Amino acid sequence: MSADIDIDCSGLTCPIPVIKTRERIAEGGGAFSVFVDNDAACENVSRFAGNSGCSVEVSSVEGGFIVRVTPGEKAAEAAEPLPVTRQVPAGDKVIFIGSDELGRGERELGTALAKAFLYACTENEDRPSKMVFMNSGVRLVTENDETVAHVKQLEDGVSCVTTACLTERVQVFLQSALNL
Amino acid sequence: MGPGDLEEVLSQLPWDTVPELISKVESGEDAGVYLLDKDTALVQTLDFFPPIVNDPYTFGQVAAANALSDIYAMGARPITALNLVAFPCSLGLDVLAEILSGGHDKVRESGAVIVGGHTIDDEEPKYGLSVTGLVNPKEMTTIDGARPGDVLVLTKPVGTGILATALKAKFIGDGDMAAAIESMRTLNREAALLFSSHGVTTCTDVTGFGLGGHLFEMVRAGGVAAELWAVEVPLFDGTLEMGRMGMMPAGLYRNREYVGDAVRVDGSCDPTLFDCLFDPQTSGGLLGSVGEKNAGALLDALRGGPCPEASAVGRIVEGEVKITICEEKKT
Repeated sequence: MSADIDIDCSGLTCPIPVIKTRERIAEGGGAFSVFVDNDAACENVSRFAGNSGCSVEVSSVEGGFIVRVTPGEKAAEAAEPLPVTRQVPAGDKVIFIGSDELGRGERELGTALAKAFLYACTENEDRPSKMVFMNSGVRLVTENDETVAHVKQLEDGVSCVTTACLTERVQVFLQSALNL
Repeated sequence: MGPGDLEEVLSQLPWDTVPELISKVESGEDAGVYLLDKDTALVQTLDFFPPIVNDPYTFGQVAAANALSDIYAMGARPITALNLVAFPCSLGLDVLAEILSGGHDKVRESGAVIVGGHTIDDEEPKYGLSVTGLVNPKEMTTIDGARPGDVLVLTKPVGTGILATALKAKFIGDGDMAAAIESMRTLNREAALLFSSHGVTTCTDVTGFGLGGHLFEMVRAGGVAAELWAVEVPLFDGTLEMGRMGMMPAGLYRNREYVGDAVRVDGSCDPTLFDCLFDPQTSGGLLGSVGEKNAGALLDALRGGPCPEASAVGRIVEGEVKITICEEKKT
């Protein structure tokens, strides 16, 4: 994939690519590129940006499309105040996941429960503000395709951190947020 | 699944037939019809899907009204239903109880009875029903009888797919879905009774393939062409706006692709309005092909009764199988 992609929507289905595009336009910056891997997302992102006062250029690339969005003068305003929008703010809940199994016992059941738990998080109105994955829990965001998809969906408004990128910020965060 | 993919799979199967099976599986008929004796046929259908509204009881009602709809599209009367449930226990059993309660109440309203069901553990909840009905084969409404000159009558507005996508994206809230929810949980029973009393013999219900996709199945089964008058198609408030905001579900594009070259635009048509005609519907209205002389009385009865937004959305014309979309009504 080319390096000049600002929003990578691979594996994301509608309406998530539009939500991500809208957030970017509302921030009020300059031109940016969105990668989408399906026709519907390409058409929807183009349609949304085009109708929000941006100029849009679509190019076909391997595995999908790059939509180049150049916001016009009033685009940030147009993307923000939708008359019917109600953005639910992320809660202050932090979820710590230290294993790819939920509970102790039969492994098959434990992994199925962990998967179901992440799915339930995506469906819950009261989303966590942060999710921390450690030890074998990291597998849920790296190896298991189904749970990766759930976490990607959650990332819309939730920042996920894993020990793979355990920086000073995260360690400090762990201590303060979880009272470790 | 999109209609194109489904057709590809179904075409690979050897469809056995027996004399008692009087519906044609390959013609896109809404339900299977099996003759029990000369005056009675069994009508069978099933449908299930993931939640499209946030409230579990309402979801149950919508899923049941949707599953029952195929029975009404055949002019039949539902008698029994079986629950189909996929559910993650992590969501809480009280949620499942509410879904089932919504389904139960809707089935009771239809006059049918739930006789059992089956549940599996699944990470994404899904609910629906398998419904059995009875019909006198001489009074059955089918998909293949549309004749040139018929008026196309649609009983409910279109836009549930786009609005559900916008709800998922939080571009709209539950309150903005109210009219669509009310429509989705309304049984097509009263509309079907009016169709029957006004001599309608050709009917289908508008669900996953969208208005355009189901109309295409009707014209293909009947070997006729149709005009679809885009501005006459009733839309739920907010549908066009949300369509312009890119809230089109992926299924809409699959439906549009399925009809492909068989649809053309006469003159010009707003591209968003055009796409709304392919929006996959949940528990959508009935689409009837009605002899011209009965159309006016039927529309009056529908509008004054169970379907205030019923509309004449087009007509059947001579010619090879195709749909011509005109923005305005043709006279």
